[in-house]
Amino acid sequence: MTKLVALLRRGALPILAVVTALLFGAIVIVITDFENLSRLGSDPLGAIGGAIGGVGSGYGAMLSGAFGDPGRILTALQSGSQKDIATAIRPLTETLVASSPLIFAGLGVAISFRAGMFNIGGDGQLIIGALGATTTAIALAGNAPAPVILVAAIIAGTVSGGLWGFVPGFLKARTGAHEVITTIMLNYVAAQVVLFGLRSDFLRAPGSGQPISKVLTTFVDVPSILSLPAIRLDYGFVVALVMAVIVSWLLFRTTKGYELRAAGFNMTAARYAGMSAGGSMMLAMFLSGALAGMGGSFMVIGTVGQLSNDLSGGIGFNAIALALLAGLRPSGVVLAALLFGALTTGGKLMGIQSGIPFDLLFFVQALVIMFVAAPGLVRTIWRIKTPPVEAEVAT
Amino acid sequence: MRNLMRLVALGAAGAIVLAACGGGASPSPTQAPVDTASVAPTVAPTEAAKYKACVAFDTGGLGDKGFNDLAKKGLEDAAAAGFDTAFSEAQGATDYAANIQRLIDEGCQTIVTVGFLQGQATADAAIANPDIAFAQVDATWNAAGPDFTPGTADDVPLPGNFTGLDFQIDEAAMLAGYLAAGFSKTGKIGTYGGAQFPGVTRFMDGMYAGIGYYNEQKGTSVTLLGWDGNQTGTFVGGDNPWNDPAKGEQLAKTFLDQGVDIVHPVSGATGNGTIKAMLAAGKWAIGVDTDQAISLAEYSKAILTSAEKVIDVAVLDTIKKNAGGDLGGEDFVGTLANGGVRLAPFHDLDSAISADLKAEVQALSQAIASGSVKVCNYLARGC
Repeated sequence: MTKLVALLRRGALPILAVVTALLFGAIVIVITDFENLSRLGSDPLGAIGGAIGGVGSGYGAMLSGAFGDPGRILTALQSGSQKDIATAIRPLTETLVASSPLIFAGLGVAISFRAGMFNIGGDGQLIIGALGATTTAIALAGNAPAPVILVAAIIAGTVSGGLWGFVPGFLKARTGAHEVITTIMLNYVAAQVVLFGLRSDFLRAPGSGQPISKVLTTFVDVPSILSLPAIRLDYGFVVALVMAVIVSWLLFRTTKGYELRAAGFNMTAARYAGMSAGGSMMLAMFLSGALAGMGGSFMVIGTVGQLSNDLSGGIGFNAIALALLAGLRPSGVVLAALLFGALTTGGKLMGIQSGIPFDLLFFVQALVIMFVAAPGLVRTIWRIKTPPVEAEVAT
Repeated sequence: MRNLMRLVALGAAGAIVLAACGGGASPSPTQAPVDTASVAPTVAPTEAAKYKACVAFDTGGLGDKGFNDLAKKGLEDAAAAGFDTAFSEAQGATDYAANIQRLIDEGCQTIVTVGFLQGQATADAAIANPDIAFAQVDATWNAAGPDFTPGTADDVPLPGNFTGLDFQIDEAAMLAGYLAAGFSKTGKIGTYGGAQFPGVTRFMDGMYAGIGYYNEQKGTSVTLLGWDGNQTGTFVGGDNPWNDPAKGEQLAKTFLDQGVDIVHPVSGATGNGTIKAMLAAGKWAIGVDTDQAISLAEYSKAILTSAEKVIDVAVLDTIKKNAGGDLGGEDFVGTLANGGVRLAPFHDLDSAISADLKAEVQALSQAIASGSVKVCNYLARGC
């Protein structure tokens, strides 16, 4: 029972942050609804009603875009038509598809933050991982059976992402170079490396001329969970969940994890206690990069199917946001990633149906981070008493 | 830890500002086209069952005052013509297939995708949905299949429901190059691209060819900096080549230092910075994709002309063609002859250009349209 109360208390703040952000988003939708507001002079009630109706239809579209329409799913299931079922459940599966790379990258961020490393290089590590996976897959194409290619490519992508993350960890541990600077800069380097790679005929087959790789899914593909037309959900999502369990175990049930967290709490104390703080940094950054790289690998081999420079689309940065929202807890990362996945997936349909640009979603996501970062603000808005200060206990 | 939170809050605030800027960008006005592209408009949609036309944008996004905005203009024209419309925006590569599928689920009957990045997603969707018409801006159908090698098992012939909308922009750019060569006071013209893609270097090829043709006709030696007509040139590169106006200003200054007085940037919004810097220096620039003297009216005094892809008309015509029952089956190539590409009017600089030069550009335009002058004859690699 006390556990449940503690859980609620821990969850209250992020949930209220999301609700508050959505409310602010609603206000923005209303005040930018120029079409309705232009009638404010002649028909004030109708104008405001119309603008609020716009919020309703926008958020309604977001909900059905993220989770689907239950009635439609039921009818489709009864009809038994594969195409209808696929259409009905696609919003839900697309939410999970969008969440998968966010879970990987978010877990990576959580590990590095736990060790006191502010890893902003998720984007770079993700795309370098994707490059590693793509290169390996193309090199092995035709020389090995598909399952072997799949496993090899994922491992190669994970290791490449890990090495890319290891560099700033090493620089910090050995030279004190601040990881915020090095990880941000390595994002740019990674983008250049990938563009350079995509110029080679090896990755980019002759005839295309554009910086986009060969299609990998013609010879290797992550198996789908559901074999329905145009459903992209594959076992990458399941692996993401498994990784969350592993990360949780590693951080809170192993000596290495204890050392990582000790380094994050207080480097000097950790060192004094005889732990290798530098080693913890390098390990944390390697694992962080490896997880992001694994996420990128599952994207190129599974859901997206080919490598291009816009593969990431800001996943590395969203991962920072959601890891903070999650309180750096692996279970929280999964929930926050599902939330962000639902927001982005739903936001796309909101854009199509109501014309509200998905830039609004950036706005909402940014507000979520801001409110999580400023808990006092949310407490003031919702008049919640400040809880007694408790030591940050690992869970 | 507190510092960390501050940093995050700062980042979040920055993101809000960025989001606000992004959302506020309005689609660029484009001049009403005089002549339409070769595809003839057909049946107007009836009120009873409105034909639904949709556009899937790429990550360049709306507000680029080019490419994507032009396609948006075409969609708006379609809405004005009585079609039901919708569009989707993409954040990353993972959105392409998903967005196209969402538009299919929304009941779109024509889906126009913008940009080469969506090629695979568009091709897959076109094959999976033979009753829906697909078109792709700046692309032709890749009949060689995913391996880009003709004659192999994965070859896919152009399906009957696909229209590639490709633009022979080097023809219009050649006119711009000729005009620039005749207009330049220093005899030095600059160009650069966002990244070395064929779609970009095609503009630069045209500039190179136009200057070469001018030199051949007049016996002059006007030079082009930034592109050698073959493989080597100046490119922005980096992870943000298309949206970095500060970098564009910097590049303009480099060109100005070398005595260049006209620059043709081919790099989206990055080029807007170049045009701004050329205006500040009292020099000139040549716009790209759309008539930038209109879309960037504040810099119009520096914009000599623009090499235009008439994407909006091509999109509208494709939608009308599809609604008339023709779902595609061949690629559309915009040329000077069919009005798919053109040289924009001279606007503010009209009086500064001599009547002789205007007449020569006009004559060259007709010569290219009729085929008597070929752009590629003036390239170092000879096509």
